[in-house]
Amino acid sequence: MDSDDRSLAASLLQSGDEAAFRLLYRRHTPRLFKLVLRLLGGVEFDAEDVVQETWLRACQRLGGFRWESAFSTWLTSIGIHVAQDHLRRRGHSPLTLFSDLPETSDPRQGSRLPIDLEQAIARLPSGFRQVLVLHDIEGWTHGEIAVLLGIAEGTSKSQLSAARQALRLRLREGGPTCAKTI
Amino acid sequence: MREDDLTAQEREALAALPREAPPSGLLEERTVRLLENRGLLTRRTRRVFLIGLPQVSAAVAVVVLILASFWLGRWSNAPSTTEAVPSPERVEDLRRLAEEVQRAGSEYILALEAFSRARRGDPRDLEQGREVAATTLRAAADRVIGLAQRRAADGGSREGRPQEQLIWF
Repeated sequence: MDSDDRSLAASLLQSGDEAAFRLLYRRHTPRLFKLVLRLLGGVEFDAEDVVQETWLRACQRLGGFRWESAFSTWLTSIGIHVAQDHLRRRGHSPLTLFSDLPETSDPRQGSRLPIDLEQAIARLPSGFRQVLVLHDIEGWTHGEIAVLLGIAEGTSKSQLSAARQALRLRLREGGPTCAKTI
Repeated sequence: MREDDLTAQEREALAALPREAPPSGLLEERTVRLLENRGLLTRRTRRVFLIGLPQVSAAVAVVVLILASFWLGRWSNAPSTTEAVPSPERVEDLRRLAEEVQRAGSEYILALEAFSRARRGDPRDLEQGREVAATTLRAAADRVIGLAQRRAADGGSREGRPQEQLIWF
């Protein structure tokens, strides 16, 4: 596990070294998987498909990677694109309007069952969820998010603002337990 | 501070969320196979990590089965064309061989049961164990088919002899 990403990638490129791939995979997949899982709203089966597709694309494009960023950052950006494609195929837009949110007075929504922060994030509309996960959890800037999601920087900011409000609302709706969570 | 800025408590709650989660163990194997199929990884002989008695038993059973198959293959590929009725030695060989295959298969199944109960191996080992099982059982099935054909041929020319029954595992 001492080999750095660059030398492992070189072995992978030169000879299709399976052992090198496995090391890279084990090093970076847990983080990638968690991120993708959050972006997709917690559907593990879909997240695994996205992770697999991410590695496929990464290996196909590895020769063109110029190492101007960390391997993990590059891999993550591929993962986000694949997750985006996945969501698009399921009819989700990278943008969400506040009016898209379901009525919170819906008795099913306002069941007063405690939900935790992770669940509340998973239940956000995908557009809100993506910006919130990338900015508030993963620490990406609005500029980076705008490039990744193909939206304007201002849109990323407004989506984040709305996402936070929606999250607070959901946590309050979720009951007193989760209201204390955030 | 704007209304939608995170409070310190909110920031703390978000920071406390886990950043990593392991996917299922089979995803790695699935991904490796996909990359191999696309020519992005060099296919290599799968290593079987043998740990513990069940796995060793399985390996022994596989070896016995392969040797028995080899023996049967050699024997059945070079029949004497002048022999219209099988000699008692040949019939005895056949019976012994059937027993060998049967015993190997039974041992292998027992080993697999123990293997599945062990649960102490890496998921990759379990996957590889399953591959070994599938390959071995296919080989065993091929042998059984060959054996049955030989027995049918021999049986037809052995009027009056009681038909032996091969009980497969």
